[in-house]
Amino acid sequence: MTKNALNKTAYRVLQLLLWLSKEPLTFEQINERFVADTHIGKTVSPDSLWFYLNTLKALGCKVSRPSPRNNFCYHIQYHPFSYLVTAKDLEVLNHTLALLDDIHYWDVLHLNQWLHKLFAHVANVNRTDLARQFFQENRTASCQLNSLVQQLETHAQNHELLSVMYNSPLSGPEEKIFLPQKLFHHQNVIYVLGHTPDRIESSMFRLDRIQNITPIIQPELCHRLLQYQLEKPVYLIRFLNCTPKQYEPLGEEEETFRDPFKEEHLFVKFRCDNLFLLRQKLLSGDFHFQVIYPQDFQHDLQQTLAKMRQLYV
Amino acid sequence: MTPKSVSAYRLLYIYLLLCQHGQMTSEELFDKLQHQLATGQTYASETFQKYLQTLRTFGCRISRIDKQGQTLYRLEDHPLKMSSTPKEISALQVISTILSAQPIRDLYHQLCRLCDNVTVWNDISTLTLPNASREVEQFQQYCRDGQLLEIHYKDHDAVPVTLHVEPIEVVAGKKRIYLLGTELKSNKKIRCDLSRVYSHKQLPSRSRSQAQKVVVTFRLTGRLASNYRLYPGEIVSSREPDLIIQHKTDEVDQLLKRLLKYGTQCEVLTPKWVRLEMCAQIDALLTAIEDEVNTEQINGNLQKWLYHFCSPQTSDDGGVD
Repeated sequence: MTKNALNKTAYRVLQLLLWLSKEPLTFEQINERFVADTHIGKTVSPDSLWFYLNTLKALGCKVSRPSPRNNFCYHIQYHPFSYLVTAKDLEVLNHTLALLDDIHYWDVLHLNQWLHKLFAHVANVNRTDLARQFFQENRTASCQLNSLVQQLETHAQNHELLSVMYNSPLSGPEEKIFLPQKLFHHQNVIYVLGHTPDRIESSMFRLDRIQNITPIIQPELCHRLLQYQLEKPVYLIRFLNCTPKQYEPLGEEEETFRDPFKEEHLFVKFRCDNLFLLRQKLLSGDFHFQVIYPQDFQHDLQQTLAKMRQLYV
Repeated sequence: MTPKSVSAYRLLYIYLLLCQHGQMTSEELFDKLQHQLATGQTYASETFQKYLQTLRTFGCRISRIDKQGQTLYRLEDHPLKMSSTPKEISALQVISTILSAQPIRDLYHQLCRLCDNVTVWNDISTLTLPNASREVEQFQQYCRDGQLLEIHYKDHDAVPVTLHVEPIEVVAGKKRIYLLGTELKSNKKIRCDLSRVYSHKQLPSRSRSQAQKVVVTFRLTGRLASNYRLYPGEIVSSREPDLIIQHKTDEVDQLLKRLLKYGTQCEVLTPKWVRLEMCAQIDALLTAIEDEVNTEQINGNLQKWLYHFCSPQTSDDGGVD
């Protein structure tokens, strides 16, 4: 490259943009970097720096001026040199988020972290409103949950009993004794599934409502709750007019086999520890169904549907 | 006007345009530059090349593609591009792999393009599955044609029905593919599962009908009412004593599917026809679940086999003798 092939003023402005968008720098620190740069190799005067910063401001950058409050540093708080999110991009992100049921909850957390970063970084002038609207319309897991997820994973693995301070939307903060079993996500919200001493059925807590967890030692209770977890119940459902090709797994441990009497129907055996979600998925599914086993669940669903029907009398 | 470096401004403006558009032809680029007040003058080719060289020295990777008589400049990478952590990139790769396995890959390609423009990452999905089937391509063509379709379809109970549909879009679910269209008779937007379509033909007419959006009002009670988070197109009409939601949609069936899962904590209030539709869907589920046939048919050996199949103790070690 020849010496003339570089616009040196523009190059200095570009480097200034890069440095100041990463961290605040004083006039002296900026000049140290200019000297160290092989394409510049010399200091600039305060007037030149003012001239360069004005150029950046004219292009839409927000520059904070040196003052005693910021240790006399220059800093670029915002620059437009990034991607402009369009309505089509938002649509793509919305559709993508609606299809994430099959991925691991860690990937959900990392994706969400990435999305927050994206909206903070985009060039759109209304990016704050855009982000608010996007995160309001889409259920996304909170970025603050990483540490809690790690702790709960360890406690579940070690079968450790916990005292959980849970902020219930109905009754406010309350303390629960809880043996965590596993974490999962549903529609981009992360939950922990486990057992409490007051019921045989599993319970689940939304992680963003957990205020605090403390391990407690009660070996007998822990053993009893662990027994509930090891006995993972089995459910047998017959989906009507459903072929194996049409059947979309509900995200549980499941096996499918054709109905030997009527080929157009499909049997699915679930090993499921979250009855609440199974019930929801069956009711909102694409196929009519019959509960073959167990009878309790059959009656439970019959009663639920009968009560739903009563609302429309 | 505040003094500024004009040449630096011009150069950075080119950078800004490439950031915001990802790629531009030289014509588009020059057109934008000439219409910008502060840069409003023609650019000599030499000056333009010097600017590009300065951007490259700064660390921008700008590729030049000559295609069909046009020169396209694409900003592949640049120092101010958003950085992503290895874990974030890994999550993006998992998602792109899932999307690449779908029979319709539009979303996959759109997401990859967005990620390419925003950050530095590598798509690792292998695209081993065949492309969309001929049937899907045919329905996509029907959507482009916009002519009416006569569809012979089997409903939930395997009863054949004939629908006249103005096709809008082919969309993919997790495993199934749907034709989204406006049904002529009811003027409602519907989703036809393509695996249930057993014959179809394109009619030589267009209806240009548009599905009317409906405001569905429903009541939520109990725990759900206090936890409920609004979906797009929803507003709270009242909070006391119960939560009343108004949802504007042109896909009533999809809304009802979601409301069904709320069980007894949700009641559709208006309009009357949607209330009746909800009622009919509950009736259909109730009829199926209460059907005695299953217990009569599943008798003898099958019942015994099912008992063992469902028993937690025997299912792991091979089942029945």
